[in-house]
Amino acid sequence: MEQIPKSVLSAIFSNLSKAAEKQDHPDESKIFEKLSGEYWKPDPANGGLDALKAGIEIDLSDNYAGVSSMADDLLDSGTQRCVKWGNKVSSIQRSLLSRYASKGEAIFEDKNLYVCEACGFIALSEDFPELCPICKAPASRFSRVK
Amino acid sequence: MYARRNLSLCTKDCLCLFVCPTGATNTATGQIDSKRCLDGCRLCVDACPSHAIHLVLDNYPEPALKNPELASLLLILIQSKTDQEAIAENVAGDEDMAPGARRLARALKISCRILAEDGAREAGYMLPQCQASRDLLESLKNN
Repeated sequence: MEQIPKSVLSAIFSNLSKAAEKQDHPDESKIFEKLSGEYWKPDPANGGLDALKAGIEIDLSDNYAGVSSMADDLLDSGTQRCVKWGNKVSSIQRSLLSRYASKGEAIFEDKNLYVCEACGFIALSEDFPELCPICKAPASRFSRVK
Repeated sequence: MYARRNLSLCTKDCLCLFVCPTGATNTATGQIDSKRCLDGCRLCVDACPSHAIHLVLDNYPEPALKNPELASLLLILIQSKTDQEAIAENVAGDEDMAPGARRLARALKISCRILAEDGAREAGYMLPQCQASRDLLESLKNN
């Protein structure tokens, strides 16, 4: 098996933690959560929000496109769905960073940030969204970022 | 198969208490006691007027096998998202940054992790008990 980077293992294990939780296995879920934490030892990250935006740009221009064309060839509907949502969420991420870069702290006036726990969509709004515009999850799947 | 209650949908009409042969639906925590729940009984599932109870499988079928090349591409995508998550975590913890920037970074950190997890699911790590997850754990144990 190819060597999988530690941070990728961390994401694999936090996903398995959620899958165990949904099967009503809280103990197993906690073990995977702990494993996820053990593998989350990222190198000290270079750069700030600009570097973050540059990474998102590469996902939008290259990474999702590569996965997408292979998923189309293989008729892998799950991956096609993942790419569709991921592209949209990444575009929103990029647009929030652009708006912050040009207007600064003013964009948060009277507004909160909400994240959809199902697909990662970020809303900048006064109140909880009624429905996720990307994956159609209800308001109860959103959490407010403090 | 055992029954599980979605507490945010439950309207406390308690029809599940009327039909449950073992009392498994009647608990202080609000969750159905899986130890007393009868395999596949589903009386409470059909009785609930709020559709708040569903059955959870004991044994899930093995998910469809993933193409290894596609899985490799997805791992690159996950790596990219976790790199972004690491930057976001740094910004969120940087006390010299403006409060809005830190809040945005916290949102991006959560969002990037969810995208990475979605990629992990499609790369074949859908369930803890599926073969890809077992092989992965085994290989980590041996290294």
